[in-house]
Amino acid sequence: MGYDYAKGRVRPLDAKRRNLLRMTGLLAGAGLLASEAASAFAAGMVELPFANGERRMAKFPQKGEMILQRTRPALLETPMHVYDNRVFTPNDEFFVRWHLADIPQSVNVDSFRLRVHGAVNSPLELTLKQLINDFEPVQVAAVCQCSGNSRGFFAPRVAGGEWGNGAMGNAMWTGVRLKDVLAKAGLGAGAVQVRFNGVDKGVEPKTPDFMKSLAVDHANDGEVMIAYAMNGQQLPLLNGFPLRLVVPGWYATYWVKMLDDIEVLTQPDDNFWMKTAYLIPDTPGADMKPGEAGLKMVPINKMNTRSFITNLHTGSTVHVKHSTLARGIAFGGDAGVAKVMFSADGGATWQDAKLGPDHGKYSFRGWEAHFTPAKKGELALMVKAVNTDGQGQSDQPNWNPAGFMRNVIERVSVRAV
Amino acid sequence: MKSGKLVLALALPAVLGAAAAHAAAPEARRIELKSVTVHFPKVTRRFTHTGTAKTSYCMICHSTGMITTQPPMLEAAWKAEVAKMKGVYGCPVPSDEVADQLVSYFYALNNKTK
Repeated sequence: MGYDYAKGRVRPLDAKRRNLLRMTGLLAGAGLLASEAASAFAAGMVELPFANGERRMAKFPQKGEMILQRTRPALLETPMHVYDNRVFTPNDEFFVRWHLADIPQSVNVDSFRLRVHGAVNSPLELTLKQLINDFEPVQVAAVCQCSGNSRGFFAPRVAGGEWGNGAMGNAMWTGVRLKDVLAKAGLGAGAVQVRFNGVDKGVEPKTPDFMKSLAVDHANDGEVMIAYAMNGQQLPLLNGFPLRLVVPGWYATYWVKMLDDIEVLTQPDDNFWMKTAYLIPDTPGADMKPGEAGLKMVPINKMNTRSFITNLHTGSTVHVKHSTLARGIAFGGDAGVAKVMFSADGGATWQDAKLGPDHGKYSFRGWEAHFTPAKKGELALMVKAVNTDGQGQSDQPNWNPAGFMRNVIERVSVRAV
Repeated sequence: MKSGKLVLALALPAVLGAAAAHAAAPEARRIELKSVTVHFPKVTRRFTHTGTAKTSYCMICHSTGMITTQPPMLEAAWKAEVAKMKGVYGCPVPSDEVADQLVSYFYALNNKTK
């Protein structure tokens, strides 16, 4: 048996092909793969703080050591320490999430094409060179967060990618405005939505291809971007090289990776990934009771406000009567961070944290505060943010069956000695 | 493997201040966008002692982590997951009997790992 990397499945390797591989020296390559696979899992283990939370650490191509949620298709979580003392998440530690297993492992920048078609006046087939040179380059600092980030903390638990809090990242994205590309194609009469599709697809022919759509007005808002770089570098393949849609303020499900197809629709998109998957209850905070029926369900959309402590974690030790630094990150979803508050007494009293540099409303914002433990014992540290639209974080966790949009006030328990 | 390259104009991330969220990228420099070939880690783990449950159907699209990372779930929840894979995603599970065997196996495995 051989492993067919292009198709991503095990299939018999006939004798003729074996000989061919031997002749072309590709078996040496296969040996390299084997050792790479071994090293991918040689590293340590980590325990996420929920039932069945034990995970291996792994290194995937172009990526550093990350929390392995699933090998195929890859789900890789960013360890919390990566967010500490920085607001831009390194590319090689940026979380990875794919739905479908047939993902190309080679991308040629000369032959890659981005198609724009459907209800347009002039369909386009753009080379990367054209996309980069023919449109004005723009950049935005924006948080990319999985809809189901923190799903593992849902109670009662729900099935899915069992993430801790590391299915999020912030990058400086460079690319071109989607609006400019659509203008070049010219929107046709009756255009209502724009649908995005990447090169990845299912292994089984019946698997619904992963596609997401935005309303025409949103697609044309001048903020939605086709990105060809993150943090000043080309994207890692696992983060969507060579092109990724960037939808500032919206959940990552819309940030289609390996984007090669844009279709302008004259009817609302009823494909599986818009109509059936990624739905939330149309309630405040996407909150409902387990088993509650008859709620209106809508496609997930804007992110909500969140904040995290990154330099201290549950189990950390601090010292009595010592001024102690707490710091972390906050983001306001589709609005900027107005304020971050910190508590060192389980929420009884709060102080305003000092905010770090503003990299724009869609970015992580650093914060810091100091506290002095008065006596020995456990201390509950908490952080909460409010965005510039006045949206804060909830005291009680939300719940929905897909495990989406968690934004409860975070708490870590440290010990003063 | 042809290694294509092309040059693109790229903005320095550091130039963005506290101003607009979305800025033109005037201070561009030139970097090379290069073709990439990677090799994803090989899926080596298989379910063992599966009895009659044909987990090879699951392995068409997923590594074992898809199953083993799940929280404790009721048998009905596993039934719903297997039905979704078969009905929505087109997993070629040939019969309800095979689907039921998978449900029983995963339910037992899922409870054993807790």
